[in-house]
Amino acid sequence: MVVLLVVGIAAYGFLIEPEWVEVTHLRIKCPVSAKALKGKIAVQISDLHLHEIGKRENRVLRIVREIQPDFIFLTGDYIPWRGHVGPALEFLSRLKAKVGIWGVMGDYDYSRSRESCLFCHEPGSGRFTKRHRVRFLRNSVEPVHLQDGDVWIGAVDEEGAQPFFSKKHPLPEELHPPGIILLHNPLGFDLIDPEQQVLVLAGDTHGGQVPLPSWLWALLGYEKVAKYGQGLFKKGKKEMYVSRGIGTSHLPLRILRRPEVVVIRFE
Amino acid sequence: MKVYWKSILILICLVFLAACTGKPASKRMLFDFESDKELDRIHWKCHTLLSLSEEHVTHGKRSLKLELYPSGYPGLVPMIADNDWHAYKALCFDVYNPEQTELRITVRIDDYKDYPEYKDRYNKGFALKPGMNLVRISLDTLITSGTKRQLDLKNIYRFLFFMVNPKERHTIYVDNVRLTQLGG
Repeated sequence: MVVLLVVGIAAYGFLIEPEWVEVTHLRIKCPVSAKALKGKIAVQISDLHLHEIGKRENRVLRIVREIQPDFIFLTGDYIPWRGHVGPALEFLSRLKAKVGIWGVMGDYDYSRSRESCLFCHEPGSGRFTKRHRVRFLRNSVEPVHLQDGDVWIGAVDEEGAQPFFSKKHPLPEELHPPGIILLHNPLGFDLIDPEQQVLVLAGDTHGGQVPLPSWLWALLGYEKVAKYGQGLFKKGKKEMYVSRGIGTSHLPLRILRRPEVVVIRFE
Repeated sequence: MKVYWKSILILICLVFLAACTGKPASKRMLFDFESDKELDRIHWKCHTLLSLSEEHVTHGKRSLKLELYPSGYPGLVPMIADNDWHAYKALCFDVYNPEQTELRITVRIDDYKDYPEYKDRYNKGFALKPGMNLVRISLDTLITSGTKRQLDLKNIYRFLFFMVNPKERHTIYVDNVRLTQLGG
């Protein structure tokens, strides 16, 4: 009986849940500095860890197409560890949003350092790629001009900015304070001033992929999962949503941590 | 058969002995940029375009061409596989500056993995005259900028060089990055 149960859970965890994409709907009050977002719809996609575009990825693309979002926000880890960027670039090329697509890179995206350049550039050149419409931000902030005003979007890319990145200042102070910040690692949330009214979107944790208590994640050295495993977090005026992402790492297993596409409606 | 096994045993012992008592080679090549694979031993960063070149070679048949674009700190950040430098006297590399004017690079060396602040790492500027330059850094001069601490030569984690805020694009060629027992 116990053996049957274990086999059943393993079959579910390896074969069913990793493919079973969930759409999570959020209603978020616009940060004061991003009032122009009111009524807009954004989709967050995270942690694709793409080996190839399969059933799961096609379902994600179909969901995004049906939603027709104004924004798409990507929060890193598009490839497996030391994987090739080709399938990820192909996936990104199929994304469309009315206003635009902004992204940040994750640590896995730098695991094959030379290829990481291809996310933004044509091979062997400094020219920007025309293969996709994603604007990857690296510790920078840029304005988006909307009908009702400007919205500033920023992104913190610790890995890409090394070895010159200072953990004390996630975004240089001289930059315009953003209304939305994209992170890969949610621990970056701690570096943001709680008085800053900002929506932070992060990923990286996969929700842990399996349900374990926080203390155990901490014991295993996964502070980010222990502290910000998945879902919505609020501290002072800052707010963060941590997505469980789409793909998996280490083991292709998910139990009670379904892959998710996050749909945000700004109110 | 017995003699055969004895021979193998003696050979293994000799190999171990050689490993234990052998002096370090007079030179250890860190990077000579001969094959495409070496480009995967570099941290690729924005605003620096890297490629192998057959020009301005000082070792083997190729050098590394760096195109440094206007930005904060464009430069070369290689992945260091050998962290123990203590058996050597100097870090040397050759840089060719094809321009008519002098260029300035900063060399940074860290002796621990977590990214140390400016004051707790080695930082030094070097002028690159037009033409070929030998950059030679005596390892006993590796002292941190602020804390004035001698770097731990058994734990060198990071070596990089870069330009600071260049206003226009510059190209340089690097080759023969090596640790030496002697002058160069």
